[in-house]
Amino acid sequence: MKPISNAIAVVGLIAVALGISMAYIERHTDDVNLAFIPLLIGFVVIAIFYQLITKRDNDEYGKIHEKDYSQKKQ
Amino acid sequence: MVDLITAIDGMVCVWNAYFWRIAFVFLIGLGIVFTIKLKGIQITHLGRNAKLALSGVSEGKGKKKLSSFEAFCISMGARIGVGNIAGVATAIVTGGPGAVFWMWIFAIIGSASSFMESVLAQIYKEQKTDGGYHGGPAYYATKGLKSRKLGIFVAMLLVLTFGVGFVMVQSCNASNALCGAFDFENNHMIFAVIIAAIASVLVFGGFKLIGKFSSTVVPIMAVLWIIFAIIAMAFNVENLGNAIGMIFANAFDIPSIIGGGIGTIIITGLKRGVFSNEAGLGSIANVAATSDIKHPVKQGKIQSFGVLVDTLLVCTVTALVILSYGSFDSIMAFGDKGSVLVQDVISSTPMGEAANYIIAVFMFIFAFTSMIGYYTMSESNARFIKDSKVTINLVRIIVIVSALVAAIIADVTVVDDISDTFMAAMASVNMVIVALLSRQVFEAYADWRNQKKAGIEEPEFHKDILSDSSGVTEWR
Repeated sequence: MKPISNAIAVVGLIAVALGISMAYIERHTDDVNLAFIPLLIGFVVIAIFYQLITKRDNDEYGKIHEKDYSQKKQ
Repeated sequence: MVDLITAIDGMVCVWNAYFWRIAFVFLIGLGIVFTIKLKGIQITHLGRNAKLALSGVSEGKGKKKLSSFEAFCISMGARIGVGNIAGVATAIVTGGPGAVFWMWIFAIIGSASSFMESVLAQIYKEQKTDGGYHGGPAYYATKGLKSRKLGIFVAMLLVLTFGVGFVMVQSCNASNALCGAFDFENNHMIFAVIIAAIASVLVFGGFKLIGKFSSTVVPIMAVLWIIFAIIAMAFNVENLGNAIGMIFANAFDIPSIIGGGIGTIIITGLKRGVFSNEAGLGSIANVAATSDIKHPVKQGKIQSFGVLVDTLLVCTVTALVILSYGSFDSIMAFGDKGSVLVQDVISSTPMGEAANYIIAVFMFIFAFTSMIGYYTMSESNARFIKDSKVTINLVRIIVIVSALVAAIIADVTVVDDISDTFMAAMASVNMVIVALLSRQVFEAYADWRNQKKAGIEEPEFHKDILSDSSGVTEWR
């Protein structure tokens, strides 16, 4: 498996762990607001997760090709 | 027996909490990412998306394939369920009026996810022995990610969640609502048999019959509910402004009578919103795949519109009916939640007791069309696992028996928690799959945009515009 694929998997698992920690905090404290901290961190992790996926795809296929239809008419 | 059910429910509640918080991270996080990448297409193209959804012409040649409108109505039939009535009431009671605001926010975010999964469903759809198209997370996981094991796992999860769990929830709620309004001896058994009998006719009638039934019933019932709710609101019109004000005023400030903090409001709004509009769960993608159209992006736009209709329109109408009753403390004074609270509020208007019967009928119809939608998804996924008459008939029997048993038992606590847990697991898995295949969606969307820019009114999709079209079988 390529290193970047490994990185995607690891970051994905971190996101899962943050979800679990959110549930743990909610269930073991009375402070629902505190549970939002891992959720907000999770959003940042998800952004990194997605960036890695995009980078992997761009490395493999190049940037998305925009086909020119201006010469064609239906 | 009661102790066993209580013990199971206690265990399932724990799993439910953990699975749902994982799902939150992926559903909201990726929903925001997709919204940004799509430049808010669910809002900026709202008018165009609505026009697409309401077009009724079948573009394909096959008689057993569905038009965009029919697929839209089946998906709306699945989306619009007891969550649009009972779920909204529960959200208000547990999260305050501000929970409605967060339902709106998550509907807008989730609408982008619905676009993504619907386009993927169309790209990787497959024609089966019944002549119709089938697709969804199981198909795009297998064909896009080249993993049949993952596809089978997702398919089984979907059948369990919707074909068993959700069918039971809807059937039970419908049965309870009817029994609450029409009280006579053995009413549970009689309504259970009626529900199962009608379900049998429809599930054995085939895909096209389901499409015809939903495309006729769904628009009518949604419009009727909105009209009914507006009439109920009219009796309290002087409170309507205050009702709207309560939603915004409490978006960040939970009423003290409930307790908790902003976290409670947001989580309640998210959970009820996702349960209602099913964005990102992969369920609606199964329906999106069935449509016979010229470009996958068309179905993505239609389904993203459906999410907004479900929450921004239908759920909002229900919320305003409840909140226009009076102050929040007076609403809480009923001591009820779910459809009972809605019945309490509306029966306090000059409609009186008649409101209870009317709401019971709506609950029955909403639950029923949802059940039909869930059966549709279950059959599609059963075909994925093994496309044979034996498998299909087995799923049909499972769905009918689930509906019958749930209506007889009339206690959804454990069933609700179990199906909820499966749903959260499926949402997480589906969102990751969608993220991994997102390039295909953006390539398809770029193609749609470029064709439109070139003046092509009806864009046509060709698989050669994809970087990797190896799993695409139904497009030239």
